[in-house]
Amino acid sequence: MEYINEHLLPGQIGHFCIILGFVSSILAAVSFFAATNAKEDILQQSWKRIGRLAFTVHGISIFIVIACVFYVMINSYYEYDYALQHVSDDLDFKYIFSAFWEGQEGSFMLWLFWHIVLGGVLMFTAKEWEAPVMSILSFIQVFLVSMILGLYFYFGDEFFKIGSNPLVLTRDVRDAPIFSNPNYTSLINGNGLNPLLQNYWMTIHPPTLFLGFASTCVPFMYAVAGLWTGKHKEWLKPVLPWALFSGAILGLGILMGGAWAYEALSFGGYWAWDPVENMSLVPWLILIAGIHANLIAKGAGYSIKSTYLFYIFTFVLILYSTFLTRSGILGDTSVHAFTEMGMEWQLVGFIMAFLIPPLGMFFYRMRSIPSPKREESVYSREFWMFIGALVLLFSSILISFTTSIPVYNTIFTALDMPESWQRRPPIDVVDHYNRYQLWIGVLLAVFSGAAQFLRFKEQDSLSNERIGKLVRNIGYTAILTSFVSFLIAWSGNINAWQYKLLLWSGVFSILINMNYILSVVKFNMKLAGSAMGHLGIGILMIGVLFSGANKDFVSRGFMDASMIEGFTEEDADKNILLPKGLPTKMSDYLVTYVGDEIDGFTRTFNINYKKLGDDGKVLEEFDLHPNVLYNKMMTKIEASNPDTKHYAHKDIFTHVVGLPISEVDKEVEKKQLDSLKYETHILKQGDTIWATKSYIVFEGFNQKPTNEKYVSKSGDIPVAANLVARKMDTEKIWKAEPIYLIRESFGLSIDDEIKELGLKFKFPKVNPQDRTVTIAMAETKPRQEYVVLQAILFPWINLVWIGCLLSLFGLFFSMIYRIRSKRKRIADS
Amino acid sequence: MKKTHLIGGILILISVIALMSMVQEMSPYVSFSDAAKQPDRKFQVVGQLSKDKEMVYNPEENPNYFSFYMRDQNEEERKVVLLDAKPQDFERTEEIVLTGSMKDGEFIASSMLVKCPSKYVEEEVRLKEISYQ
Repeated sequence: MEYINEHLLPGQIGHFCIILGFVSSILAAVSFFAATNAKEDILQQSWKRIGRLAFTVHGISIFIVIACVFYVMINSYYEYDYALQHVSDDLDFKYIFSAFWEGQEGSFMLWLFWHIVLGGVLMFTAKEWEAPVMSILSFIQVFLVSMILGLYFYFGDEFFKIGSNPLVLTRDVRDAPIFSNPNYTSLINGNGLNPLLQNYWMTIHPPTLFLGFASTCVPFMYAVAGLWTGKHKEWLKPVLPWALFSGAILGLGILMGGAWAYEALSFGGYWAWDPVENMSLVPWLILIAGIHANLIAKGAGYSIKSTYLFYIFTFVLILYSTFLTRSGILGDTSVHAFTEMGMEWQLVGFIMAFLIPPLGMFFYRMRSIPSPKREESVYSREFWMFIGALVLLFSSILISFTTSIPVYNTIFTALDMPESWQRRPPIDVVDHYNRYQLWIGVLLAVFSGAAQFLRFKEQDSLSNERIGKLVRNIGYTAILTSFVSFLIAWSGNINAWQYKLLLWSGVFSILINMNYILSVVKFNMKLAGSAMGHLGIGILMIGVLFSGANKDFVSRGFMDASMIEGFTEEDADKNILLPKGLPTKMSDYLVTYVGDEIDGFTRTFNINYKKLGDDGKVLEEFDLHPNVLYNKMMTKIEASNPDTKHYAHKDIFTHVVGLPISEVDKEVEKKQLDSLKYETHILKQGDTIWATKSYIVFEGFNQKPTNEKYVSKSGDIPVAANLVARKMDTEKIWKAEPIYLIRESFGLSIDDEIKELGLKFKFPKVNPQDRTVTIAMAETKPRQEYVVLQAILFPWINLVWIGCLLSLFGLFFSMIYRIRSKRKRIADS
Repeated sequence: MKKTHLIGGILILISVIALMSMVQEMSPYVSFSDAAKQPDRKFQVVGQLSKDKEMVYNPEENPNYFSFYMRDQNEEERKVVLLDAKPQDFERTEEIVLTGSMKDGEFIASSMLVKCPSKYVEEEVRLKEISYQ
């Protein structure tokens, strides 16, 4: 069949460039490989030149592929499946980036993009490490490009799919009768971007996170290059700024994910221990362990082996996390996972390709990796730093163990193990992780603070003067900490001993880092980064403790004595009903649902909070505007977005969890109208109809009706019935004016209603012989207008953000310091 | 023996103990009738929504009470009470994981995880719908 109005050129260019990008990455990998192994300088240089050229071609091809995908998306060419799935005619242009990386293919291209940028920087700066590092990077690119190849290999009826191509045509991958129409493109509209993802976080979070993912490959590549070339010590220095960069960016990406969840999603928190969150945190923890091992190796010569392993596993764990999110294996245990695409084996192959060879090299080289003969002293910094790195490793093992449950289940099923082997995630996931990670936090806060007062390469025994100094610094801080934490626990209502312990270690970390900054760091920029980073950890811990332990559902008050046995108040009393306009007491606040506005598919609520003093005076007043997003038919709510009032010391988080069913679903509203029961009444002038809460008098006819529903036409003969409704307890009157109309010799009724009283009127007949009218009246239930609201108070949550940002800034600061001092050394020499 | 090895050994020991205690918490899903045997304990039950049975959510009466019927893995159908608001778009749910306990023949759930049909399948359905218009 000849199709018309298709735009096949961008697809053809894109397909060609994917293949070119794939082939050139293989060429780059081989050339840089040969350059690394070449003995003669001239051979090395020429291989390197070919490698650079091939990598440049690779980079340009991938950029063209990305441009082609953007082109078909911007122009809404729905003949391309990726455009069909991720954009729509009504999608705002500002969301085009979000739509691009919403899908698997787009996010792989984002990852490729960052690797190419990093490769560009490495080609200029890596000097003697360029060839091995770029060879490994190109090899990684071979695997990444294969994820968007979209090739099918057939073995009889079975087929094996390599990659998923972002430029496949809709008619090639989907089967629908619509494709029998040559002009089908004019009939279809795209699916658009998931409304949950239509916010600015989706624009900034994925690129940051993927730069974080991408950057973890640099320490990995240096580590493999070290093993490869046997220069076990030389790589430790150039890798450090890269590892610090990666730690800062990956950390920022994870933090942004938390902030997004907190600001824009409605699960009420910044960290849910979701598998996807966990598996981006674990590589970060291992990377931080690696940075510490790296510092030990540089400062004292120990831990070179650990540095190798930590950096290798950082990247492998990134691949593992990619596997978990993209293979569909997480299934019902995560809210973030992509849907499966039949690429599980390709992803497993990706992991194995970067796990087994480096480990093989490591064991092959193990004996030649240098380490000092003398054992490290317990008074040395390297000893305690190493313990800290082990604690991070320990934390990672515990987190990964639970997170990987779906993987064990899949393996058990594949091996035909009995059903009883299957394991499920713990019932209270958050509690499960918190209970174990609490100890990690305590250990890290104490070690990271105190170890800074120790020195590298310390003797086995210390002089009395040194001991005295240590005891003063650490001991006095501990005493002060105990005093301060006692006061905080007492005033802040921290009762459980676990929380007290966490509080103590958090306060200790803050105080000892302050002490360190004031007494040792002063203006020594080399030490400032680490002091800031560790101080941030202490602040973060205090923030986590208060915002978590003292988190309070403000929207309590509905259930009281009717509590169900075995369930806490928190289980059963989270939400409150707010009728419109009726101030409702909710904890310390008087809360009113003032009104709402619909703009497009978004309905924004105006919720007024008043805090009253004991004398009933308003101490404080503010409005919050949570909203809900309807689907395109306005029949369902797709997403509920919270709104939060921020204070320095607490946040009040509010979102709408429920609406009257008629507000949620317009179909239900229509059904309710259809099912109204009208009763007919025959009335003379002055007669009364009795309704449940009001009465209505027929006051007479009106030849000139003002009912807005009536649009007059020439030749019409309209008669309106003047109906006046009253209630017993007020003076107020309401008027209705249903019309009986003769138009082109047919009788019609034009209805009227009194919304406040829930009355609807029809006027089906005039009976001229006895001067009566037939009026049909129905009573609707009074219109229900309310919201079901959830409001949560998070005390001191700002400390979480401040602590994290400070830690990441510490990493970033150290990186800048190290790059600058390297430049200075080069300039000096 | 080196001190770091000793500490490493201790950490491995703690890891093993921690992991073993963690495994205890990862009990498999149970059926309604298993949960009924121990009404004081919290369990996880997985199953399918009974779409033909009534769902009750009346926020005017209680915004924290939502009831519906679910069939567990053994096709046993029970009434479920969720102590929370009704989730958006609940009717389309395919699979439900409940956390809670059995009380007097009803399963009282304090939390619920739902799985909806994948976007890809929906896209297929949507295209077919357009085709037949």
